[in-house]
Amino acid sequence: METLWKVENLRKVYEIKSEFKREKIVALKDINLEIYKGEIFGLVGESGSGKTTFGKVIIKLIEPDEGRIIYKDTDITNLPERILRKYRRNFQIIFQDPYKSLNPRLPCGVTVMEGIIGSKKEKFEKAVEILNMVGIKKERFYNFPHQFSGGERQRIAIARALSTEPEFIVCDEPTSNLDVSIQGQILNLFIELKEKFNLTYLFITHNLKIIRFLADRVAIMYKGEIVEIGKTEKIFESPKHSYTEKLLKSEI
Amino acid sequence: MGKILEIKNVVVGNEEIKILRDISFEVEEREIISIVGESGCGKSITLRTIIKLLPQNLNILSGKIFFEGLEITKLKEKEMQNIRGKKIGMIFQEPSSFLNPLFTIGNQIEEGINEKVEKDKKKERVIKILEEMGLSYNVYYQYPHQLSGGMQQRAMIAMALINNPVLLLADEPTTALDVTTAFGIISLLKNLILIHNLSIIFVTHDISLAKYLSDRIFVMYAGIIVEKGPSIEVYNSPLHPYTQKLINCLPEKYNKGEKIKTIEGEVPSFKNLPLGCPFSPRCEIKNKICEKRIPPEIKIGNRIVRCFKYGNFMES
Repeated sequence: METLWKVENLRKVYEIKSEFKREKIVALKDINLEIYKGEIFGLVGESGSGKTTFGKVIIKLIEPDEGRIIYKDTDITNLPERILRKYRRNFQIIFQDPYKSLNPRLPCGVTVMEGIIGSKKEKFEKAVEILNMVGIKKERFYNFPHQFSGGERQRIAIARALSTEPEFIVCDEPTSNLDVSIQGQILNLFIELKEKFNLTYLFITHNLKIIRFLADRVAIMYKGEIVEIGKTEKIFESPKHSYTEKLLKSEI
Repeated sequence: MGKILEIKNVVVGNEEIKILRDISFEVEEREIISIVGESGCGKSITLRTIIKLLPQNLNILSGKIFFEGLEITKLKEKEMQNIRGKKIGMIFQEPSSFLNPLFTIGNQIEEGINEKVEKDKKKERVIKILEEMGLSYNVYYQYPHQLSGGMQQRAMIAMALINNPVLLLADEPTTALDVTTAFGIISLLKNLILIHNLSIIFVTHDISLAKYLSDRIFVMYAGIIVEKGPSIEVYNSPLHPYTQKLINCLPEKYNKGEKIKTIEGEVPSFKNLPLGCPFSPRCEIKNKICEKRIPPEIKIGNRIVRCFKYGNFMES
């Protein structure tokens, strides 16, 4: 299998400075892993374990303190932003709360148009096509985020991510704000789009049922460290680390 | 076992819209009941009706609520205050927004003690209940921001239980929490009914959690309870088409790569409810009668379902 991402000794420390105290929080502690092309890579852990930080560092929304991030064959860790921009189209992110991540002042269609290259007409046509693909009709092209329901907003966030024709998408708890029935629809959509565009996902969640259903491989994160990594079935059947065991036991 | 709470044909709404339509159920002593449904089904409003904390534009239009044999529907606000917080406790989804950031946890819990007792006794009682919740002595002196989400929720439960209520209303208390933390809270609630002689009404949208926690499950849809019954039976062999589809949406019911069967359409808005059975626009087995009338409660064994499929309605 082709390696899409290779991460070596990744480390990120947050420093909290206030008048009273200085504190260092290690969000990522020597992370080493590979993500293969075309797979759904699950990342599980409790809040504060560094899952989201990892998702953001890997696509360089946050600078790491140490370590290397290799995308295909290029080391993007220290690439200047001007060169990195060329790569940025290839990786996208979908956040947990689409209401916070969509611009409330832009009609949703226009939000999607922003990521597309071409003439205005081409942009419009492509945006309509993408929105249609995620299940948003053309009539609602000029509606604003508040006019949509939670599930629809998440569909728009997905459409926006797709607008740059990426090959890798970080999904940061994309369904945890949604009802079960809507969650099912969105999960179906993720699978459908993956096959259609040959996408690779880094799927961050704390819902083990979704991971079991979706992910090919999974990494368990605990306090900034990856304690276990492997094929999903294998980890669920015979967890090696005590934290993984604890996590699986608390699944209802 | 006696009945703690009895709700009879309650309708909640105003002149324009009706949120709850003909809700009836009972809660026994030491029973855990889960109310399950999608957002906007009226689950939280049901809880708020019981404790009589409805939004200003909503009223109880008809029906009766009995709490420990006393009808509370017509009680004055003053009289209701003797029940609310003392006999019925409530916890919410977002503990951080219900705790006062300026006071210590101990202070806030103490404030809720209703009887007139000395300061030392109060403190003793608060620390005892904190320990019951699995929190340490120190929490008494701490402020909400010093606690994690799970600890805050435990402090909230302590606050709700400080007056030894007989009924606890829980409005999605674990939705904002992690799997492991949520599991801790759920186990805690299960233990509490034994120690405190408590009944719990638990609102959630997670039907597998409801199955694990509760004795009975009520499934709600658009202001109507469509199915009532023992948890395991409802989960394993749902009767109402809505319950069946809801359970079919769960990812754990599928193997990897399979397509999840979702429910077509959306929950109807309360301004625009269908005339008959509210689920009929999304139902695959609907009949003519479904679009005309709201199905009555049909008893099947120890379960109650509201669907014309059961009983002899289909021919007419």
